[in-house]
Amino acid sequence: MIEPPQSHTKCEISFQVNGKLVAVRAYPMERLLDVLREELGLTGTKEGCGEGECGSCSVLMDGVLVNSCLVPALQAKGVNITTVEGLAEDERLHALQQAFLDCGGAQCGICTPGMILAALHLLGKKPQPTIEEIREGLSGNLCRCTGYAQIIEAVAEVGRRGIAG
Amino acid sequence: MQNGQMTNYIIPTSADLAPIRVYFEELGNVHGAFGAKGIGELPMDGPAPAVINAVEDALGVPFRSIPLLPEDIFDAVANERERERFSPVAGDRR
Repeated sequence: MIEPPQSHTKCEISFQVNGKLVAVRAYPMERLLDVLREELGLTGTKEGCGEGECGSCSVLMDGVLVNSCLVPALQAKGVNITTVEGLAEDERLHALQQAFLDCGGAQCGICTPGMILAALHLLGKKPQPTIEEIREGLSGNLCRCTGYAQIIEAVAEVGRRGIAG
Repeated sequence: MQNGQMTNYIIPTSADLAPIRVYFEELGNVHGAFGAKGIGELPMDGPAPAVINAVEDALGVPFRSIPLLPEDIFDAVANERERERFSPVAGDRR
């Protein structure tokens, strides 16, 4: 008989991150956020509140926007995860990153990776969102610095320019 | 968006925030260096005096410093009782 995974023993979990297959040994209930940051060194994903309120740790999991602080590592088995590190191609920034830069959409930067992934998720559904749709689409990501104006402007700019930049 | 109490005092999301218009005030502050005027800290200035005034109003004992700890309140109230006990006015009442 095969023993089910125990919460106190590490198990092998393999999944794709930014198109690359990875395998980690982690506790099943370890936060995906910690696996990404500590095991895989992908520190672009930030911890804000650690309880699913702020959206700083947002990543795409099989195209679904999730708070990685609320996802047990075991649930990542076999999925495809996109973090902010997966957006730029070599030296070329993703259209969203460039727009955040151009519009001044980042100040302290803690919310930025999550904001960009939330925006990416939104643009996937609505390539040319209205201002209201942008406000709604980013409302799960808190920002204390900007007042959101420049962030919303950045996403609207990508809507105008097109996601391919 | 309304925050009626401190326990669930939440910060606005992008869906809550009203449009912001940035406005540059051209008249310098005469008291600030080069006409500068700090504005970011102003919301920090009011709450502590307001809370201390409220405690003072409730107890009738003056407080003049922050932080205001439970021990400070206890001491002040105890001292006030002492003072009342030995004051001539209190003596007259006896």
